[in-house]
Amino acid sequence: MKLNKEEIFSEVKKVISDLFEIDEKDIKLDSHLYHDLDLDSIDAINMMGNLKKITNKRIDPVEFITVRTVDDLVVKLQNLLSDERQQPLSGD
Amino acid sequence: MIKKLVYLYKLFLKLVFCLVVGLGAVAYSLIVFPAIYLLPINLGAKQRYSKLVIHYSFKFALIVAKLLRGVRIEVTDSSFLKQNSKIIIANHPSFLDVVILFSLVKRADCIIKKSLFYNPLTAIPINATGYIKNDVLSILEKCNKSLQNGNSLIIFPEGSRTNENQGKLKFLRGAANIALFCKCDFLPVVIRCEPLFLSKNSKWYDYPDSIPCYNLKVMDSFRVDKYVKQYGDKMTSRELTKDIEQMFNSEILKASG
Repeated sequence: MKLNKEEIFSEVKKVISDLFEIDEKDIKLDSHLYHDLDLDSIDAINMMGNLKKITNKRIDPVEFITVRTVDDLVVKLQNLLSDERQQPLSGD
Repeated sequence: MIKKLVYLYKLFLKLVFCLVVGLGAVAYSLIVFPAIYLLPINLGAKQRYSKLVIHYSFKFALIVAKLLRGVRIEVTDSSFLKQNSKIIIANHPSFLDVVILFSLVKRADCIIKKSLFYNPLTAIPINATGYIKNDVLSILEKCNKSLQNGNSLIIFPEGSRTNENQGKLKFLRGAANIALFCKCDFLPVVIRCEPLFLSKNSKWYDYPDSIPCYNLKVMDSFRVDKYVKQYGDKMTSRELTKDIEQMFNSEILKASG
């Protein structure tokens, strides 16, 4: 399943907006997850579960420890989606 | 002149107390905890006994402190604390809050910041007791396991001691996240300390003119099931945090009014 950056960003905005009741228009690519969107480390882990639905692949939380902005997140997801060696989830 | 002497006497007592605690920590690290770990029992039992050592040691330390008229402690409805598998949340005006709560709860578990696991003074006791490391990848599962084993979890939702200059209490969402994940009710404890002692903004050598009096009001369970029902669709940790924060702030206002 290949998505371009714009589509990934749109999905990410939707997940963040639904989970944390933040207005989608307040979520920009350069928004800092912790300082601007007031997420904390547990929110980030909780978000991983919901992001699995976008990529249809298992997300290793360790991979995302360095993510700080929405852009970081989108880029990481993009890399994950284009990584041919990753096994897709089967019937989760 | 008398006042100066009294102040010096109290400072001296405080220094002696600190010395005893420091030496105690070393003695426990080198003798008590290793002795427990040499016993032919499983790891769970070793951790349980280590936690009991902390509970009785803190209890004893406070009895001594009260006898020397260093502090006064009043607790209302302490029987609520006998319940197992609850998440005990308290505000955190003073350093001694931790000692008092652990002296009141026999099977207490808590979350400790990572650095203390490696600090030479605290490393051995903390590793022996099996307290939970503040590591976001494992913390929720570990809290759940601890509660299922019958421990009560002590959490300060503020994260650190109250900054008395900020007005109302400000809670972080950690306690709420844990309660929602573990589907576990809160046991709120409202702590007051008058005059304020060993607070965030005070120096270690500060000592108030009159004996600090700690008043702990243990409240009945704060149910989280209605928040749990919505959890998963949206993160109700914000809502839950706001509600417990409001409850604490109004209790404190009521008490000081």
